[in-house]
Amino acid sequence: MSIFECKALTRNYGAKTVLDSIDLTIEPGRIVGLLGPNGSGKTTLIKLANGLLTPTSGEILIAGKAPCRATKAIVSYLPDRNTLPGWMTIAQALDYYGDFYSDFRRGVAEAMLMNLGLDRTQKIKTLSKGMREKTQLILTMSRDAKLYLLDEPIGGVDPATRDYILRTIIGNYSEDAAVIISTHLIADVEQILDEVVFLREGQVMLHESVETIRDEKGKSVDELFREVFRC
Amino acid sequence: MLSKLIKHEFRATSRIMWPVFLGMLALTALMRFSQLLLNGGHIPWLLQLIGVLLVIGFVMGLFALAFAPLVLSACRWRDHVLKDEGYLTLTLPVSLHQLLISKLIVSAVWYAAAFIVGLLSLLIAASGWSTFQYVPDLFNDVFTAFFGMEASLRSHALLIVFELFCNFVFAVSAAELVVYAAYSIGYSFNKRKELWTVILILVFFQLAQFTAIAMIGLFIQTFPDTWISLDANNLPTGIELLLLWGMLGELLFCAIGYAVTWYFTTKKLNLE
Repeated sequence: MSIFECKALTRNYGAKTVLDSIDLTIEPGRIVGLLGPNGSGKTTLIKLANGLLTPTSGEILIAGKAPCRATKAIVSYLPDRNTLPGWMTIAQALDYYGDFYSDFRRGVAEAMLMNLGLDRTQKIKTLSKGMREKTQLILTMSRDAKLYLLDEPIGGVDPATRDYILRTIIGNYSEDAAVIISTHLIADVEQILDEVVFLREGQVMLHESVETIRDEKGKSVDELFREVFRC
Repeated sequence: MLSKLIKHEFRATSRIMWPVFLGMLALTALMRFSQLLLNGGHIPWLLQLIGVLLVIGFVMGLFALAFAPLVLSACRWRDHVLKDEGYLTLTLPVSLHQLLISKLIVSAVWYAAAFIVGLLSLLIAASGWSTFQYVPDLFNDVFTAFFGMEASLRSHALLIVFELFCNFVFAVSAAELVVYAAYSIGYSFNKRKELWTVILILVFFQLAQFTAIAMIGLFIQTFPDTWISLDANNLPTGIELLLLWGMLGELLFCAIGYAVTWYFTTKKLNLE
C-alpha cells in the first residue's frame, strides 16, 4: 500500500486554486524532494497531509486513510517555523513528544541532544534560531514514523547546520518509512533524494526518480529545476 | 490521551496561576498588615497613602482573580491552537473534542481554585487573625444544621447545592467556549485577526445578555404560579427551577460555542 496518495486533489483559497487536481503516489522507503518555486503549493500539500487543511475536492490518503487521529500517529511533521512553546525546557519537550507519540524514541533524541551539547534544562526561548530548528528536527526524527513530512528543514540555517540536518534525516529514518522534503535549496538536498516532484502553480509538472533524471537527461536535479523554472 | 492533555495543560497554565494566587494572598496579607498599622496612633501621610493604595490594589486584585482563569484560557487557545504552536497541537494524535474538553476541565479547576483563594482573601481582609480558629466551628455548625433538617428539606438542599455546582461548571464552560468561538472565527480571517476577535467577543457577550434576559422573561411566563404565591413551602422548588433554567441557558451557549469552535478550527483553520 502507498504511504502517501493524492487523487484529483484540489485546494482553493477563496477564488485562487493553490492545488489543481493533483494525482501523486509515494511508496514506502523513498526520500522524495517536493520542489517548486514560492506559491507552487508545497506547504499547502503538506498541511493537507497533516489534516491542518481540508481538501476542496479530491482526496489525500496516508496509508490508505484520510488524515485523522490514526494517520497523525504515524506521520512525523516538521513545520517551517518554531512550534515549540518558548516556556518549555528541552526536557519538557521530550516529555511532550513521549506522552503523545508511542513511536517516540527518547533514547535516540537524548543521544542526539547530547551530541549537540544541548542542556536539557534549557528553555526553548533561550535557544538560538539554529538550535531551535535542530531541537525540533531531533524531536521529529526521533519518532519511528511511517511518513516524515519536512517543510523547509534547511531553510535559513548555515551550511554546517544544513549538513547536520541532512545527516540526521538520513541516519534516523527506517527503511520502510518515506520522507517528503519540501525545499528551495535543491543542491543541498539532492544528494539524499531518491525521487523528486516538481510543483508549478498547483500542478505536478514532473515526478521522477533522481537516477532517471541523471541517466536519461544527463543533468542534476538542481540543473533541471533551474531549466524548468527559469523566470 | 485526555489525561495526558490535561497533564500538559496544567503544566502550561500552572506557571501563571500559582504566581497569581500567591500574589493575591501576599497582597491581602500586606493590605491587612497596613490596616493594622493605620489603626495605631499618628501615621505619616506616606504610609497612609500606601495603605489606601494597597486597599485599591486588593479590590483590583479580586477582579483580576475573577477573570484570570478565563483570560488565561483564551490566551492559551489562541497560542496553543491558532498560532504557531497549533502546527504541533493540531497534529497530535488526539481529537479536537479531547483537546477542548481538556482545556475546559483545567479551566474549571482553576476557577474553583480562584474562588477559594478569593474567599480566603476576603476572610483575611475582613477579619482578625484570631477569627480563623472559628472556621472549623463554622463548618461544624453548617453540617449539624444540615443533618438536623427534615428529610425533604435536606433533599432540596442537596439538589440546590448540586445545581449550583452544575451552574458554576456550565457557566465557566459557556464563557470559555464563547471566547474560543470568537477567537476561532477571528483567526480564520487573513488580516486584523485580533480586532475581529475583540469585536466578536463583545457581540457574543451582548447576545448572551439579551438571551439571559429573554430566558428570565420566558421563565416567569412559563412558571407564573411559582412566583405569584411564593412562600416557605414552594421556595426551594422555585430556586431549583430557576437554577435548572439557568443551566439550560448555559448549556445552550456551551453547545453553540462548542459547535462554532469545532467548525472553524477543523474546516476554516487559517494558521499563518
